[in-house]
Amino acid sequence: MRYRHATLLLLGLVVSGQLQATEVALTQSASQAAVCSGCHGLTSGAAVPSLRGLSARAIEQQMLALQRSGGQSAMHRLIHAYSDIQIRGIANVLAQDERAP
Amino acid sequence: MKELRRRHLLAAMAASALLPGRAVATKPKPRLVVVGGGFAGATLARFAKRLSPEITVVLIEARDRYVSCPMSNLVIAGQRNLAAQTFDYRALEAAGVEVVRGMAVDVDATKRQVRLQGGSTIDYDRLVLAPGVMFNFDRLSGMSEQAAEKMPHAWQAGAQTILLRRQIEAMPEDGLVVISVPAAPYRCPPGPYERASLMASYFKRNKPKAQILILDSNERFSKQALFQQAWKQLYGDKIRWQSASNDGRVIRVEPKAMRLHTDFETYTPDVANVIPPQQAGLIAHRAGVADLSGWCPVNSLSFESRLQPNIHVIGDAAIAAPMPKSAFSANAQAKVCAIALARLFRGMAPQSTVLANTCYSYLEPHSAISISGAYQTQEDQFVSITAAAGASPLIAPAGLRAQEADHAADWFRAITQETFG
Repeated sequence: MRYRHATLLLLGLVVSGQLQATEVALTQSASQAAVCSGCHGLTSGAAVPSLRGLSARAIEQQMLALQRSGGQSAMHRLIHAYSDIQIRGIANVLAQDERAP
Repeated sequence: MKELRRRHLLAAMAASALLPGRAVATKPKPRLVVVGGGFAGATLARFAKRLSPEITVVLIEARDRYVSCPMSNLVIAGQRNLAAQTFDYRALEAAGVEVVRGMAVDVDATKRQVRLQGGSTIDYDRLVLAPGVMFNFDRLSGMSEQAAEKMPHAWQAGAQTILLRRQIEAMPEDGLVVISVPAAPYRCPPGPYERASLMASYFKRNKPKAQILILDSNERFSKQALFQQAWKQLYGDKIRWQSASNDGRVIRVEPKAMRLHTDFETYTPDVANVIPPQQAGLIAHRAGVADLSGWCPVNSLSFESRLQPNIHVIGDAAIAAPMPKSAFSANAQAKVCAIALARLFRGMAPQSTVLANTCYSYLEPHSAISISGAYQTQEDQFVSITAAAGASPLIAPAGLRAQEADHAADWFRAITQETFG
């Protein structure tokens, strides 16, 4: 009895985990984050870093730092399109994005 | 359990027998059909399949290879090989997209059916049109597909790119190139001016007496101050620009005689790069999603046509102004549209988002500038977020132009890998 409950619970977690991944992929944050991969590829280039493997917190911190810094790249301009809350949402999506190309 | 299932199935079969013309109980997989395998269509097909593996995604494309327009001005300047920007569709097939080689010639929006050249048809639940641009030869007297063999546009990359490159190489040391720019909107707004810059860099090294004249149907252009500053600094008076009000609008061409006419002047250059006026690709007109402007009005949340239900339009063919018609925009719109479609297939409403664009332009082979913008989507419009809009600074710190050339190369690598790789 206990075993069956545990199995059901585990099954529930797996299913909700999958649902969660699908739901995240279809959120507003996901559609805002979708733009990023146009420049930030699977591997880093000479000037544009890859975002793969970074934690949500690291991405968020870098985006917030970019907003405050006085650089003159396209990203330094585009970052001003996003609120702090949007940046957190985008960072969360990017950190989860471990899929293959 | 087994018994129960069988009984259900029997019941379903019995029910279906009472409903002639209906499929048996199991719901068929939704079919998403995409026409056009460029930066918009190929990206969309790939992302739609990734977000909804259970649906059938069909990509209809006439050619077996895609040649990218971005970076093709470097090919014209002799700085890049066309092979470095030629891509095929094997990765899309490996990702589960059904790639159909064929030319979509018609759409029956009532039957939800695309017709291919040769007569076969493909059914869809939702259709995405990403046909790019078609030339509007009616709006430039004397211009035609054949005329482009003498006066190349090189505005769809491939044979035309190579033709223009050969003409530039073959022309006399002190020759004149005319670049004719059509009235906006057209694909890649800064493209003609990047082309002039890179041609000039080739001439500077190889034909120091050659001249470039830009005859423009517009009054101003993208990154104008940056380009004009660079032209003066790098190329002296090699590049001249005439706006529409300064008799810059080409109104008639004579390809055999190599003559171009404006209202008051006639030019006989050695090379005529005539970029024709443009509109949405032909299939958009056949499908009834283009309006009188020749382009396709869309709902900005879903990119669904405002003229026909269940048909979406992305990329150059769509009216997404103030978003420019660029590969970056096409790729970004495709991903947002793919998410909107996945939501629609699940019975969820599409949501607003923030889209972005950046266009890099080379001033010379290892030096570039950029312009970027971000766009909040609302129900029926794209609204520029002014805090995020802008271009490279006129007074650039040392190394910035070279760094932006690195950004441009990295962008191209990432976007083509994501789309075709």
